Amino acid sequence: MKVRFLVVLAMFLCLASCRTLEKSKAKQLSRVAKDWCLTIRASQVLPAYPLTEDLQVGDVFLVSTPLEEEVHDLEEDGFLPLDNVIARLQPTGWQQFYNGAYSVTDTSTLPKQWQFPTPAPTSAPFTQWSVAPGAAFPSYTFQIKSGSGASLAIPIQSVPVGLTLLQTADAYGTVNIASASTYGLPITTLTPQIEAWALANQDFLRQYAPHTKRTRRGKTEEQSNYVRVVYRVYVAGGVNVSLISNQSRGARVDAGASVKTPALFDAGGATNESVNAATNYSQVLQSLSQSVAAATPGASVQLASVSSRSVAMNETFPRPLVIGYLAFDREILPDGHLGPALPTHARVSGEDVNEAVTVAFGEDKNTGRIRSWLEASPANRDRLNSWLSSNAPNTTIAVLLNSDQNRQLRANAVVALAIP
Amino acid sequence: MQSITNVPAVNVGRVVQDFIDDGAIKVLVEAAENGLYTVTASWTT
Repeated sequence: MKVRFLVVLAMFLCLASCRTLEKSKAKQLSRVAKDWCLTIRASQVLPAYPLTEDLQVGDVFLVSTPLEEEVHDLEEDGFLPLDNVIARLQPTGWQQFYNGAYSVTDTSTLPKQWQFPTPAPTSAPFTQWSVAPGAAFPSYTFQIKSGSGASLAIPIQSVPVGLTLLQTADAYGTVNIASASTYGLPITTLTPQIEAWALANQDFLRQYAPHTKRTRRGKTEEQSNYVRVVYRVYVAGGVNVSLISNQSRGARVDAGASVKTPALFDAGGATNESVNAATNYSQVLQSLSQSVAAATPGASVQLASVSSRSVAMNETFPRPLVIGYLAFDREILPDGHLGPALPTHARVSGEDVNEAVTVAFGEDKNTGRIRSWLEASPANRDRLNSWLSSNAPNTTIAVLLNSDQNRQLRANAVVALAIP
Repeated sequence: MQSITNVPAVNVGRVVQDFIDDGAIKVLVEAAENGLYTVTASWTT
């Protein structure tokens, strides 16, 4: 009986510690993901996470999450989920925007001509992103602690490879985004194309018209949906990763191949020894690179330098990946039309965006009553403005008088101000 | 910036005047494909 109890207790403790480890690992992964995203956001760009090749200018997403929750998501996770794609436009206007530069012509289809150039190259690089406009990002630093696993929340294979080389799971790393490119279209060029799409899909959009939602506290509030239109994307061709071990041990470097290392870290005093050390270093580097290449099929990882405590690698993605984007949001109005464009980054970063108001026209008998009352005395305009600032802060008199959705507000004003 | 969409032609002048009375410094009237108009007012340049 006592033995059985001890066995059960041991199993319980083991499970509890495993769960703690899992939680710790999950927490660290999410921390790393967030740090990565913050690096992208520091450049005033919204991070695409996970990194993908399949995000283009002209992609349209449905956003039904309230702004407050989006702000919270961005602060908590570092990125916005792009899960509800509803359309992919094939925008035009590239030639006019780029004026013939970057190999963009009247017949260009972007980014296809850079992703899949014709004729298809027979050797690397298989894409022509190097022709696209360049971009640069600040470096990204991260730390991996012992016992938390060596995986990263970003698809960079050289990090676990580097940790293996250093024989450590406790390291400090820096990632430099290499070969970054960007392309985009101005909002004014995309707007008429979005409107044409919205008109053709008005019935679909009408389903997402503003609606009244009851909150947990029993209050009702108006909730709007938006379409989010990507107008610029940032693409990375690879990364340069350097790792420094936090552990003092680990003077041996081995990526699966048997490598002699003594002369690698000691250049020696005599000239011959120095020459030998340089030659040895070169040979070891080449040998390690071959081992790494064999261990990471599908990715191109090249060692730039190694020592007992640090390793630097250049990784080229098999195909360039989108790491960030810029977008604008347009509110879906009751009739399925779209409101004015608002910059997504500013909205979800809590910046002061001049939220434009768009309402549909609709008048009733109270419109005429209020107008006559306003014309009777200039003081009445001040009284009405004062009443609006307390009861509908973002509503001007013109919108109060002429909007379909403010019928009730007009009726309230007539009663409250005793308008004849 | 505030916009009123779907304004019938007969009401456009009145809506523009309402915005001007509200202090708008720029009022734009655009014809939409449905034969109605959109009146947009802004208060800053």
